[in-house]
Amino acid sequence: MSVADLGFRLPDDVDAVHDPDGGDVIVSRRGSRTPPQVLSSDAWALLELFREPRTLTGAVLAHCTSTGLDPVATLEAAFPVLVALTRSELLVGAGTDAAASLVARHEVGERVGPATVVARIRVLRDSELWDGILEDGAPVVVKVVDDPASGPDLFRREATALRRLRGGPVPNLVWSEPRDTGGVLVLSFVDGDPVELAALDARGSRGDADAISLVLATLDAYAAVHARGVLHGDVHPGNILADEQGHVTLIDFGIADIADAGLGPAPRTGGGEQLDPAAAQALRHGQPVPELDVTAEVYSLAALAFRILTGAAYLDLDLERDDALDAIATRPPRPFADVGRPRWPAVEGVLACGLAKDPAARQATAADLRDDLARAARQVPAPTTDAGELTSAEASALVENSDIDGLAWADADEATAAVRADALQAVAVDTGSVEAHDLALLWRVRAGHHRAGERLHTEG
Amino acid sequence: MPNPAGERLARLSRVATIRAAALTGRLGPDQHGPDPHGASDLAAVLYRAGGCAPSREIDARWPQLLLRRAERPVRAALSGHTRSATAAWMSWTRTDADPSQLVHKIYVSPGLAAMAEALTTTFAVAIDLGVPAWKVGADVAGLHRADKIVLYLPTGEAADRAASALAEVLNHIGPQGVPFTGQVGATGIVSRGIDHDGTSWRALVCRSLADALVAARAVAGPTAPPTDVADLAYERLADLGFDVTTWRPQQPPHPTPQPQPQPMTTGAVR
Repeated sequence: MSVADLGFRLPDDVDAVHDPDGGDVIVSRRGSRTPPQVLSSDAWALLELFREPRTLTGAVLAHCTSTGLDPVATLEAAFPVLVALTRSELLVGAGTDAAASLVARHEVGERVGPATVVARIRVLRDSELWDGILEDGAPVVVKVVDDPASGPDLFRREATALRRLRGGPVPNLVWSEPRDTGGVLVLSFVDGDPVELAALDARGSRGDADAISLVLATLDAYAAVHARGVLHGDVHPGNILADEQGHVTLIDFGIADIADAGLGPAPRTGGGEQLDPAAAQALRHGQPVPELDVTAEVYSLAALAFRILTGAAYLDLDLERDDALDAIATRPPRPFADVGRPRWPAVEGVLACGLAKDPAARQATAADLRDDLARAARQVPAPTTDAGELTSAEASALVENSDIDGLAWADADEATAAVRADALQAVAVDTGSVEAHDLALLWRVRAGHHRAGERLHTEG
Repeated sequence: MPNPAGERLARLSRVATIRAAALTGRLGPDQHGPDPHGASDLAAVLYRAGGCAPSREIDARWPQLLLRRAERPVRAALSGHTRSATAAWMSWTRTDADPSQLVHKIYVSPGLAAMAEALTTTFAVAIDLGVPAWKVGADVAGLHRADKIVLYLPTGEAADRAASALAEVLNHIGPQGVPFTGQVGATGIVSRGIDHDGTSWRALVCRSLADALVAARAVAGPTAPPTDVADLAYERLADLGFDVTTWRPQQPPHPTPQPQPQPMTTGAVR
C-alpha cells in the first residue's frame, strides 16, 4: 500500500489558536513534545478536512473543490506540508495508536506505591509527572515513564543513577517499579527553579555575583556526580533546579552514562546548545554519535555556565539544523558583549577553554572548570559605560521641566517634541519612573510620530 | 505640575486627565484622518497612564520565574483551575466558573521590586477566598503595565470583600497604581473596576473621557487652560454616571455612553 492509499486524520486533541494579527494558526497537540507549529490559514483549512479520515490526495481534491484552486498546483505545494505534519503527529494514520487522544495514566487521590497523587504537573504521551504525598506528609513527585521503544532503558538508567547517587545533589529515590514500557518512580520533592531563571534578582535582572555563585554550585554538583561514575548526559537549565538559597539539585538521569552498571553506552541527545562539537559533527554527517565522556560533559557545562551568566546561548543558534550543528562544530563562543552583558575577560577566557573544539584543550574535569571559574570570577566584570546617559540630577530636571505647565510644552514644535519624547523614554527605561513613562508618551503623541491608538489590544 | 489633593489613584487620574486635556486641540484633522479630533490617541494616553518602561537588563523569562514561584505554594489547589495563555496574559479560571458572569474586577498593582511577593500573596488570597478567575501580564511588557494583575468575581459584594482582604495583606508593599479605577485601602495597590457589555472598565472610562475632553475643548476654546477643559470633561462624565472623584465603578454608568466612530476593542495598551 502506498502513502497515497493511506487514510489520515487530525487527532481530536489537537488545539488551534488563530493569530488575530496575522491570519496564521498556531497548532499543537496536547501532551506532545513537538513544539507548536505555525500554519497559514489556508494550510489549516486543509488540515481541518482530516477531522474525518481521508487520503492526502482526497483531502487536497476536497479543498480545491471548495476553494476553486488548481488541484495539481495545490498538491505540489501542500504535499511537503502534509508530510511534515505527519512527522509532528498532527496528522496521523487513521485507526492507529497515535490517533488516540491522550488520557492521563493516573488521577488525583490514586495511590501509587507509597504515595498518594495530589496534583498533576505534566502529562505527556511518553511520560507523566504528578505531585504526591507520603503517609508522613512528605511531598514527593511521581514520575511515570511510558514509551515502548525507549521507556525501559530510560527507567533503568534513572533508577540506577539515583540509587548510586543517593545522598548527593539529586532527588531521593523513594520507590520504583519497572513496567513493560518504562516504569514508575517516586522521588522526593525538589523545591527549585531552573538554574538560569534562579539567577535573576527581584527586578528580573541577572546579577553577576548571584549568577557566578549558581554556576559554581552547579559545577560542584556535577563534580560530585562525576566522582561517583555518573555522567548526566542531559545538561540543560531545566534539569538543574536551584532553590532561593542557591542550593542546586540535578534531575532527569534517564540518559545518564553510569560506569560499571552493565547498562551499556548511554543514548545521546539529538541537539541543543549543550551538544559537544564531536556529536554535532557526527549528527551533521549522519554518522554514529560518539559515546558520552567527561570531556563532552565539560563542554556542555561550559555552555550551561555561559547561559547562566548571560541569559543567552554561547553561539547564535537560531539557524537551520545543519547550520546550527556546523556552528557548534566550528565556531568559537561569542563575547559576553555580543549578548548585551558587561565584558568579563577572565571568565570569558575560562569558558572559551571549556568550549574548545578540541577535547584535549578543555578543562579535564568539572571540578577543574569550577576552580578555574572561581579564580577568574575574582576579577570583576568591566563596567559598562554609556556616554549618552543622563546623570540622576539631569534626568530629574528633564522630567520636571517636561510637564505641561513648563515653557517647553508651550513652545515646542513637532521636531523638538520628538527629541524630548526620546529623552524622556530613555529616562523611563533607565529609572523605571512612571512619571517619565507617562510624559514620554504624552510628548510622543504631541510630536505626532506615534499613533498610540494603534497599539490598543487585548483587554486589561 | 502640582499634585492635586486626595487619594493616590484619584490624584494619578486627575494628572493624567489634565495632561490629556493639554493635548486636545493639538491633534488636528489633517493628522488623524478618520478620527479627526484625536480621541483615540487621547484614549490611549489615558489608558497607558501609570505604566513604566522595562529596563534593558530585564530578562524576558522573568515572568515565568515569578509565576512559577507564585504557583508553587498553591499548586495542589490550582488543580481545580484551568490555566490558559495568550500573548499578553496568563490566566487561571476555576473549572466551575462561568466567565460570562465575571465582570467585577480587582486590580493589583505592585511596584516592580515587590512583584514576587505581591504575586505569591495574591495567588494565596485568591485561592483562600475562592476567587473564580484571575490573570497576570504574561511577558515583561505586561508586568510593566499599571493593570498587571486582574482578578474577576461574579458580584460587587464578593469583589469588595476580596479587594479589602488584598488591600490589607498588601498594605506594606509599594504600589504602582492603576489610574481611573476605584482605590481600595490606603496605598492604591488594590483598586476596583467593572466591565460593561464585554468592554473593560478602563477602556470604557478612557474612551468616554477622551471624547469628553475633545467636546470640552470645543466648548472652552483653544486657549482655555487644561484644568478648565478637564473640569468640563469631568462634568460630562458625571452626567453619564461616572464617579469622577473616586473612579469607583458604578453598575452600570447611566446613561450608557453612545457608540463611538472608532470604538476601542476591549482594549488594553502596551
